[in-house]
Amino acid sequence: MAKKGEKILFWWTVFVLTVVLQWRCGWHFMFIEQNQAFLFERYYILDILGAPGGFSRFIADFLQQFFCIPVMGALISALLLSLTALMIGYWLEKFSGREWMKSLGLLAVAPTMILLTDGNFLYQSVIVQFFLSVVLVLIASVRFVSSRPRIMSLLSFIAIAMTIWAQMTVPSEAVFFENIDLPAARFPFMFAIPALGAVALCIRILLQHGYRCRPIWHDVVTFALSMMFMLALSIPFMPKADSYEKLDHFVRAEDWDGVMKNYSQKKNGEVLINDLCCFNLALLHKGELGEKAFSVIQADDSGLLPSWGQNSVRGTLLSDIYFATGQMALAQRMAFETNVNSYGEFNPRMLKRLVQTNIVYGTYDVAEKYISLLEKTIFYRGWAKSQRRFLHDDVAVETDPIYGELRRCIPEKNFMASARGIDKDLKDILAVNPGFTPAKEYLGMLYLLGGDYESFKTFLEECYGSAEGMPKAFREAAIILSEMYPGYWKALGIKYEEYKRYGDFVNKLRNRINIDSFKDTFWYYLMLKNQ
Amino acid sequence: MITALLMCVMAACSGPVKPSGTAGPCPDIYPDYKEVAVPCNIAPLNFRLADDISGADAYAVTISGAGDSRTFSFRKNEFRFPVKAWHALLQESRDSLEVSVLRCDDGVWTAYEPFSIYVKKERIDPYIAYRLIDPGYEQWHHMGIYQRCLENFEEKAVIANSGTDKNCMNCHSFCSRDPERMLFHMRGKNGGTYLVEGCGIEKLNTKTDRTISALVYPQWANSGDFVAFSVNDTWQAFHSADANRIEVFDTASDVVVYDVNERKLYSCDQLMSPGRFETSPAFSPDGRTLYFCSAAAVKDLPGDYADVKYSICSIPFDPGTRCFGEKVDTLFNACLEGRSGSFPRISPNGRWMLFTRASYGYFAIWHKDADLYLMDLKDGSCKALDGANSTDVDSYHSWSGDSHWVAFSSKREDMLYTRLYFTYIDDEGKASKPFVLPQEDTRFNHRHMQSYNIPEFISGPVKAKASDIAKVARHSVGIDIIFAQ
Repeated sequence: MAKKGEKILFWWTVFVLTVVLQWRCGWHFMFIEQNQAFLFERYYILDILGAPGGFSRFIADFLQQFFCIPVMGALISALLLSLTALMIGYWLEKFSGREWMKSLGLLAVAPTMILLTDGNFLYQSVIVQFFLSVVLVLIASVRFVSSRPRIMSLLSFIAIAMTIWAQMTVPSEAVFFENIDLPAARFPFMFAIPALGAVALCIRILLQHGYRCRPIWHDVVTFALSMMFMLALSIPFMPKADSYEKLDHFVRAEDWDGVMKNYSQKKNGEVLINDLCCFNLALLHKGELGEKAFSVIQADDSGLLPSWGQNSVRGTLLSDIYFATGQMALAQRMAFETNVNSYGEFNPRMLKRLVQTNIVYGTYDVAEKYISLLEKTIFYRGWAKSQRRFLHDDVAVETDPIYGELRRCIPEKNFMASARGIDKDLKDILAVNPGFTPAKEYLGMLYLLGGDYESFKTFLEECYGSAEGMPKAFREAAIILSEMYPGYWKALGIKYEEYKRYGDFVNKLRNRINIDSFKDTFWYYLMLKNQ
Repeated sequence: MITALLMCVMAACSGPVKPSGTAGPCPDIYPDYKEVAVPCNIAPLNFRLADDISGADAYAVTISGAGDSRTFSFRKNEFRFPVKAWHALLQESRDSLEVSVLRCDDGVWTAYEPFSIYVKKERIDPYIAYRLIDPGYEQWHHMGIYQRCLENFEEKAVIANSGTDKNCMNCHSFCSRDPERMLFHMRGKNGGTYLVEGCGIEKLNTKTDRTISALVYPQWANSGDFVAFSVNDTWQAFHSADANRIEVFDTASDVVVYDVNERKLYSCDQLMSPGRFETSPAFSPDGRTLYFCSAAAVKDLPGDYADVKYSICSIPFDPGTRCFGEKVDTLFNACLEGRSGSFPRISPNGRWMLFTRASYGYFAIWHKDADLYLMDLKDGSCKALDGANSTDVDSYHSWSGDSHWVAFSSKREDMLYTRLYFTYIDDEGKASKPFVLPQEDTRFNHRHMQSYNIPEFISGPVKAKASDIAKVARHSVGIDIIFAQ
């Protein structure tokens, strides 16, 4: 086919793959960007290059830093995969001596397309596959080799075997998967190899017997068939990006309206804890946790305080939650744990948190250390520089709306964070900063969702005293408490209309009619949470 | 035109360095090597001027010893000296080097006031082993035990967790600083204590039904026949409003002695008292006295963490019968001092006991008030190592073979990341101004995001291969040790 035609087909491939990848893994690309920070520093680069598999990791880390820009992850990946397909196609053509084989290169990248959606897949693999295809092209380009099929087979086999051997025998720097034991890690390869063979056979049969057309259309049809098979082989096995990855993007951007808008519950009522945590975090930041928490189905208190389990996603979430509620020691701890546990050397998002917590604590020398790291990145440089003005300047910190508020949350008397229970920690925070709404609403909701109503009652009396300024969910809970403590609602100054509404709810619940209008109440949650 | 001008200036500064005047007092340098004492075999003390002291067209450093002086030229304000030339200067110096920094502006050389580096004739052990670890909480990623040649900048992994499934490894210890006899622990996957003797590698399963945990803090007897260990039930907690970030504490701990030949543990009531926490043991050079830390047990932990104060005690040990004496001596009394002592380390000549003193607890690397203290074992007198201590953490320490050089960990630089420092202890027990482990790149400590942990001098490089150790870790089920009845 004419070169112009080949160019068109190549860019068409790039376009199609970009669309598919953005559709299936657009949020995933943005999510994995935080797994490493690429530093523009000589020693950092030399360290990476000096390690086994360092060159591919260097390229992968370099490229992944751009994934924070929307669509960039899909575009870069599509380009790499298209080039890989092109080169493997060229090798197949030379290897078989049949021109029609070149479009089959597309099939070789189908498994990679699937793997890209896997959370444990290392992007480095895409680069490794790309370099392998470069080597295969080089082998196929040497006339001495390409004219001798046995030598070409042998060299190609050695190149492929060496790549697989290198990937499998350097477990610490595993190129394919961080956790090679995962069954999901192996499955696509197992099905891809026989599938590739079957599809090749189909195309061959079609070409030989199925249709007659002009040579130029011959290539186009082969390409179209290969592309079709490739997409048919990959798309059904590419799960759409985790809904949490989408929400995480809005959390990172502190776009709390975006989080709430994009939060959706499963139709079967199942609650995804990580998603729910993002939603509750958004409410916390907007000061609406007590007002709107029950506008969605709540789980128990794990929607506010998920278990960590030494999991990076949970570590990030917990750091965000602790930071929002003024629990600096735990926010810092989770940031540190998640940072050291990241796949790359650093997690830029957690480095930012370490800067923030150290500024709040006034440990400026440590904060400066992390700032200087972030200053060596492209996309975090500006933020890092903006934090320098807080270093060794307590006045700047205390007058800053975020840092100042959080510094006022540092308890007067030291205690071991979370050792006595988070509620006691929050109470100590509220003792020094009683106006800190996030901690107040978070503590109240912890009691409510944890089912500790006695503690909730004490909390209401200590932190509110009356219905004035009390969020909706807390007033509803206080009305329920009136069943145990008659007149409690009145003592708190809750309006009669609200009390009467509870009566309506109870009646309707008894008769099981029209209770949907109460779906956003604590009463509904309490009575129907197990149904 | 600008290029031509620059070339003229460069040409003017490329001639012989002859200062025509003074540039004033020497500015701050990093690392601070001014007036430090160094051993005669130390690696080049590369340094740079403070960041705000820059802008000269060229720089030079003149180092003068007893004989000739040598001038090194530099384009920037970072000064890296060739290893060979540096060692020649150290050898030529009698007892000090005079270092003069010069700068060239517009073709005119001026000199800052010189400073001295005192060169001690006592050589430092040529290697030091340490663990590099994130100064973290529970998680880690890359971790390993490394060895560094102190005479140059060569650092090599003894073993890194990249080859052992990213597990935790800790508490390396050498018998009398012998690189051929080493032990360390791995935790989690491949867990066990690894005893490396020459090329032989032994994996031990060290939890017994009589001990509360697997073996933890080790210290070899010089004979190589015994290793003292603590067994600890260790936890950590996180301060909410304290200068110290993390609290590491034991809810129970005992001390045992491991017989390397019989693969048996020995202990006694005084070292396994239910009402006390015993930890961080150390043998005297003759192996006949066992030093250890002991504190009254506290029930409400971590609540009462600050009430745990360790005394430093000693008990006789008979290597022949493996029996302990009846009498326990208290060398550092926590009740009287109101402070806690930890990690006693006896100098190879038996004269000094170096330990860490802090307000409470024994895991002093997280205690900002932790300082090094030196006890004269001849008369029991004790004093702070003022010349070496800082306002931040100064803790885990190790003696060089000559009983003069001490390596210790300090967080004085940035309050979080531990760096290694070295100080010279004279015959009166006075410490010189310490110097930080020399690095080829003077910005290394700023960019390096791991702490140096448990510095232990060694007389040469560890030759056991990391791959061999990893092989034993993966494939050996380990040998169970027993507690002697």
